[in-house]
Amino acid sequence: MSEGRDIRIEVPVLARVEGEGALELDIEQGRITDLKLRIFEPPRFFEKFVEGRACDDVIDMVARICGICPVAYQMSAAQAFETLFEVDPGPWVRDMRRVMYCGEWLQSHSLHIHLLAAPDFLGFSNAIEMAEEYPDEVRRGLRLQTLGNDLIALFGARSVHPVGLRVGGFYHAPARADVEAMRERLKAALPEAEALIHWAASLKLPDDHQAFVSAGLRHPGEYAICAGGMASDTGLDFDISDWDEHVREIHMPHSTALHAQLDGKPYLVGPLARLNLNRDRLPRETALLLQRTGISFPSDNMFHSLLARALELHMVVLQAWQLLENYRQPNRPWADWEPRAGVAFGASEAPRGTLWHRYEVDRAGHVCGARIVPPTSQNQGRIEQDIARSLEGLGLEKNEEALRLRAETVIRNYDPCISCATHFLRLDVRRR
Amino acid sequence: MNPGLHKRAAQKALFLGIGSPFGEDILGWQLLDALQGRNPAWPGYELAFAKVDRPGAGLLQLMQGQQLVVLLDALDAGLPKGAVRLLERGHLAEFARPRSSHSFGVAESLALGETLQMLPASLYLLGIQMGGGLPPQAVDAALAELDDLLERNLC
Repeated sequence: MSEGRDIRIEVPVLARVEGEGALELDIEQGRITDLKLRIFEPPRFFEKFVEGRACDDVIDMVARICGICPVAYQMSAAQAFETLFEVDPGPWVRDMRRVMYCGEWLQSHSLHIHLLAAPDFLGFSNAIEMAEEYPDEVRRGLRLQTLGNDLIALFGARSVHPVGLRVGGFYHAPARADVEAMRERLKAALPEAEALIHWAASLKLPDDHQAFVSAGLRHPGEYAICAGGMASDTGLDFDISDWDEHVREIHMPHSTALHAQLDGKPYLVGPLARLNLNRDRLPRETALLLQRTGISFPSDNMFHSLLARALELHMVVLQAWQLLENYRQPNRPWADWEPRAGVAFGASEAPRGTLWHRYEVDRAGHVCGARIVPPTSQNQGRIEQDIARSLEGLGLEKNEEALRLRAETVIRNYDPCISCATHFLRLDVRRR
Repeated sequence: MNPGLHKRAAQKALFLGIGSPFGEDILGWQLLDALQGRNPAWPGYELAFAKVDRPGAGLLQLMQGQQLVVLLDALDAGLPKGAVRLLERGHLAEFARPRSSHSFGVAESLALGETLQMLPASLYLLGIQMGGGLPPQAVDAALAELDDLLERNLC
């Protein structure tokens, strides 16, 4: 037995997460006495970079914060400026932005499910090993990821750091023929997305139930992606401009990323939280597929995040296909606007969770102050809480390798984007 | 010249510069620009040139439908600065350490492609050692490597 022993485990790098960081774990007399996610990726100062820049420049600049979810950054920023300037981009822009955002969810979710998370649940150390036994599944993941990337590029000219969005709309509307070709591909992908849900539901996931707060955007008419009010399963429902009344960011000495708390407590954002909050907003087809899995939501098993991603993936393929039906190409895919001074708020659902922006803007439409709260920093407190509970549930007497693998699995399950959160992993376990 | 060359349809060959605008990660892109600027004549091949920034597993999709692919990338392999090496498919995993900033980088993507049998029939990596920028002789050396490669592929 390990109780009473002094043991130290070091894991130099946490693989399959975006960015760099480490985990330190102290176990004394069979109890976790300290647990820290140490983030040592240096701060990137984007909030200062954008000061003095015109708001259209800012939309392109914030895309650079993340190579996986640049669209999310652009959408939150565009929404903030448009709300402040009282510009209504109209239904075409709203629909096409949702389609473009669907592309980002599709590529990000597919990458995470097939290449990052699934190896943990199938007993492989990486996707390359997994591909030897599950080549068809991995190929499916690559196809869906490519489809998502191409959908982003349809509107943004390229999938990484796209350049198509502007305040008021888009710079360019895709040609009808290109949209038709994309629609065919989306239609062909629907059976694959459906098969993915069945496959995800059949995976043997750890049975790890925990109490946590689910939070995210909720929209009156749709499964929130581009906009909504902030809601939680504890009954919170507030406008994103009231963010500071509920969300508090705290600097932790062990991390260069800020930790966020919702009304003083850690909370969860991202696919599982969204599905817990918004399952009544799923399209009928996706809801039916969820029902057929026999797994009920809301779920308090964090590992159901993978299934939530699969369901969301099906939804975005379906909705992108539907929204592109009867596509018309406008001559001028944007609305005019005039800048005004004030404070701008924007929030959208990045693949990993709610992404909130606040800008102070001067009369010329230049940013004089910015705050960006990405999903990973919001989840960081919850991740620490989850690791502690999950390891205790697994049994702290387990050997170091088993503990390390479970801790890594828990962290990867959040699909943390440490480079967004300025932020990520190495594992040190000390037992006394 | 190979007399049988004109009887077959042009084969697709892709030169893919891998990198980013940052530091010497840009070397793969610069080498691609320099090679494209020399307008290489590859009889029997339909050439395409493209630059990508940290493509991750998307690299495999980029190579689909190509008979021959040459990846151009910065290397940190302990060679003299600016040295150019043409690595063949079988040597990529063991020797090449492409400078990629994502956890699912070029080496991992190629290993995955090998497992999934998604790699083109002919695949090479033309790497340039970091540390000294892109000297003109590196471009000459790269062209010489490609000429040699062409000869071998036509035989």
